[in-house]
Amino acid sequence: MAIKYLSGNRIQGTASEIPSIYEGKSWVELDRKSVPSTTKTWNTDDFTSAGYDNLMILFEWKTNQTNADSAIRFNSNSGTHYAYRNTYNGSGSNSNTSKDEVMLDGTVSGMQNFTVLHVTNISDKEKMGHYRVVQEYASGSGSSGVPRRAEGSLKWSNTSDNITSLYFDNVQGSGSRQYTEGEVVILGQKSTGIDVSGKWQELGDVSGNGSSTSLDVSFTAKKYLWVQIHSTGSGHGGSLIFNDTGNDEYAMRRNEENSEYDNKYDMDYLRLNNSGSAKERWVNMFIINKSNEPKLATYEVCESVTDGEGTAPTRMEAVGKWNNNAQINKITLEGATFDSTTTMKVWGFD
Amino acid sequence: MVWERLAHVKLTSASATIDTASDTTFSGNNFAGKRFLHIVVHADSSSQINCRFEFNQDTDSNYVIKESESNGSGQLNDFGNVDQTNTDNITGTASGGGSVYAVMDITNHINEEKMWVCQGMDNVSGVGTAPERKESIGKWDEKTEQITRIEAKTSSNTFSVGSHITVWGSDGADDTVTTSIPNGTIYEETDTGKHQIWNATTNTWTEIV
Repeated sequence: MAIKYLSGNRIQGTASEIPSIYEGKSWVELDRKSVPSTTKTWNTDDFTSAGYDNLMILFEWKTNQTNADSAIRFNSNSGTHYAYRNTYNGSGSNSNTSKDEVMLDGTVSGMQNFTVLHVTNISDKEKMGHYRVVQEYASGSGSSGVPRRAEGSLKWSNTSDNITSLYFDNVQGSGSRQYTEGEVVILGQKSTGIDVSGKWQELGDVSGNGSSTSLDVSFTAKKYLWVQIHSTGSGHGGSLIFNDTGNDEYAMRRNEENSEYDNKYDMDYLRLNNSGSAKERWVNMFIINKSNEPKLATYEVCESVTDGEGTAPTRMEAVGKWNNNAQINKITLEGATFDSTTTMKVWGFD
Repeated sequence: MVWERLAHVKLTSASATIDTASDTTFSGNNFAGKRFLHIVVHADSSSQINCRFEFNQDTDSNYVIKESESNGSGQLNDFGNVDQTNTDNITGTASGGGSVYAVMDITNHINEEKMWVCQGMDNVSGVGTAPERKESIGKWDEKTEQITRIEAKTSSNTFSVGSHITVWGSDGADDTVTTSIPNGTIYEETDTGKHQIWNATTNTWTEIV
């Protein structure tokens, strides 16, 4: 079992796990659970989250049904205590009020899905959250294999409890239409006191030198990756290559300035840029990095083409796929001559 | 390297500003500068509020923001040459009371403009109204200094007691950051049923008989 850090300076674990130091300061793993069996509904065990005001929830799953509409509840609360607003592939805005659960995304039978959910966790406050979903949608990296995406904001109106368990429901599922595999990991951040055993560990950090046209980080593969890239350089593009592999294995869907595009597929790299002429670019990306599965990413980009506050930067929200079953253990940033202030950081955990 | 909490401030009285300089865990007004920042603000009120950020008390027109609210058509707004505290916000406006919440990731490299991506939302209490989403990006046109102080502000009314901001940072230079176990911590061995107590002076566990 993983060590559990409880309120009142209490720690639980096996005799062999007894620590001598706290290993980090944030993103404590509060719980994780795999889909227990082929099932329409399932839930995590109860976990202790008091004192962790901010949660990051990572959830990857498959179903055996298309349009399964995977949904989440907190603390198995099935009352009509949820409201949310979401969008699919950048199309419109869907208002949902007085619901008994929050629908994350529709799914396609046998295809991967991955979501990152940030949610508040203060017992006497309504719980508020943001989530982003990347859906594999179809096999391959060709036009039909371009991944899909969903985004939303949610609330749970409970004002008396912390979030202490998660419940998942295959809304349209019945009979044999069920979750077949997947895992959820709940990470917590404290606002005060000591955060311990930080889960996101740095795997690599590389900077430019003013002449570098390629920057790379090699690391021991981890199941969950968080990549942050701050690139600078005159008129530069941006692309990521995993494990030195091109081979038309990349596809992506993006929303640039509120216009949706799904026309980047059979690519030799994962595109990061709006334009190819940025002065400065900021990328925040999460990747599900399972072996024997294509890799899925959800990311946001802020891109500036000129210094100064007279020109607004451009915005891109995107999902990407690397259609390769090997785990990512090397990430290469290309597409520019990168200034010395360019930095790529990779965090990860299993 | 780990994500390190740099500042946290929770209001003990209603205020239109939550200022990281009020954090007493560091001396002076400035938290440590880190190359990457992760910021969460969560605030509420019984009156209409929104949330705007101001860095290092810069009230000049040095910010630019681009936003989309609830993904609506025609909702792509540019705000250039703005004093952010007097123009647009990173969350929507919670009308008639409610709460706002934003998660922002921001570059904080010396010699470069500071850029952010942000997911914000506003929320009216109860489940009769869906929360509004706001996605924004932006930058602060300041190259000579890192962000070391952040103020979250509402342009109308005040944030309630308990509203807070937390800032985490990382810069890749502190690979060995660790934290001592507090003295008196109890370790409960789930497989043996034994309990151990930590002595922070000798850095040893002792079984509680």
